[in-house]
Amino acid sequence: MKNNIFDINRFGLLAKKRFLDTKSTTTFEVLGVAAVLAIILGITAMTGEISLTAQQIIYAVGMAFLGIVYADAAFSDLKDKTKGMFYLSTPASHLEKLVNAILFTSILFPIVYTVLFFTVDGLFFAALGGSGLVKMGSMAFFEWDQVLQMVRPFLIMQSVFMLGSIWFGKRSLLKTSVAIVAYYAVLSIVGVLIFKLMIDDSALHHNVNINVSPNELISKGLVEVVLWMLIPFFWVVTYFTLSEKQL
Amino acid sequence: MIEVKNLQFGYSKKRKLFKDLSLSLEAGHIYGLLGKNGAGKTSLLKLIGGMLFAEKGSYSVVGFSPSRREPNFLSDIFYIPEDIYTNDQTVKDFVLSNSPFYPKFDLGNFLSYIKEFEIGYDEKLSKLSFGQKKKAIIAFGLATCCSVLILDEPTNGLDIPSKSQFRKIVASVATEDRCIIISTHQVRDLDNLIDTVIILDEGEIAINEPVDAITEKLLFKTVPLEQSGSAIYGEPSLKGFTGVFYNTNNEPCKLDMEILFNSVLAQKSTIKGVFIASQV
Repeated sequence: MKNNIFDINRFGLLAKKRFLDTKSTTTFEVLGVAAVLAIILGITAMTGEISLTAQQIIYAVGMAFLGIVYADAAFSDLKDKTKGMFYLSTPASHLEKLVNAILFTSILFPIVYTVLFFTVDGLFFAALGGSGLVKMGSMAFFEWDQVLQMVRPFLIMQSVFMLGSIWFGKRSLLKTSVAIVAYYAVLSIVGVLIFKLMIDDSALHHNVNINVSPNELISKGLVEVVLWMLIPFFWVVTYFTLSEKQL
Repeated sequence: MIEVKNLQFGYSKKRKLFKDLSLSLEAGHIYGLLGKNGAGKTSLLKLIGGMLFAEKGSYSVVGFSPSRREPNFLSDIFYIPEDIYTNDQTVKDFVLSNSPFYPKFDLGNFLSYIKEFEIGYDEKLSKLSFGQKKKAIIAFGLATCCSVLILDEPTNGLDIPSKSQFRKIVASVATEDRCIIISTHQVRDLDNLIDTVIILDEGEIAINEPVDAITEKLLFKTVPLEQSGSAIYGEPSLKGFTGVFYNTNNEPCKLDMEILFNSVLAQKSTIKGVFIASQV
């Protein structure tokens, strides 16, 4: 009898199953994204220049937007009762199913997207960059530092949308987006109220200029740790939501 | 193999589908699960399959708690729901991606079942009709050789020859170490296939008896209308009156599942009494 929590062979089978089950749709999706990138770069080229900044923005926006859509689709089978039953009855543990979803959405997706973007962009550079018709910045000077700064917010957003895809079921993309906006609205209101309570009332009535950033109230290192911890936190919540899912 | 004790389950807090349901199913049987619409057949099967969780009570399937959905449990139980889902892949690819999860999967058997069902191994599932897709999934489920096989309305969507093929194949896979549960509205589809009848009514098991025990205690026959007085339950038919009677003289008869089902719904306490009395 195999381990009921995590078995590497079974995890491999699950990854293979996902690949086999989605290979035809994935091929179309990859071609579709390549076509969209080509269209966007083509439209940008009509201005006579595709600057390095423009390329970086296209890359970053595409990564963020498609990453969210892809994360939202991580448990899309559970949005449909019949599909969901086949998914839940697949003989793999909830942990294996979660790690498999993370592998495809948070690891393989960014790699495939990056390769795809650089391929399309490289082809544009090869075709247009040397022609003199369009001024195009070389991606050799791509600022990877900025990309690395995207990693944490990207993973946080993906983990939130992955959780939303199980939690909300149908129309989860919209519902998760609304939940995030609502969360930030509530957080802002609570923050302002706490801030008001912390500051002496009299100070506010004597034209005292207060310039304190919320980050300065808490140690910067702690904020960093807390933000990184959000990713496994949402994964753990996703795990328990998946374990308790009934259809 | 399947033990359910004092199970409570409901979709709302006010209305409970099962208040105190107990059931014991053994290996080596083909159970026919019957019940009206909304009686809870699918819910019971989902509870056994780990898709729904009970609120109270205990239940175990092949030694596992279904609600934990552990891989060793899932690889020893195959649940075929009424509606099925297949993606855009060939039958061969479906087998390649799913069969490794089932250690007892027998490819030879699968190929013989799909041959019997007239489905090609290289055919795309998306191009098959609903009935053909269902047959492919049924063939796969049977070939997994799981200890527990659950079929929810398996004959829905199957044409008449396919229903006959289905009965033949299911009968061939029934072994001493397997428990097969078939839920259906179409009781005639289970004729000569099941060996135990379970009737679910108003959240409880109205009857859970082997076919032999039923025909030993109850007599199913058609009589002239004037002899209908001694029937427990019956319906007028072209030949007179078809009903269920007390089998006091141990007359051999064939189980009429439809009449049994209707008689249990109409005369539940009387029918239950027949079997309770025989157990005492």
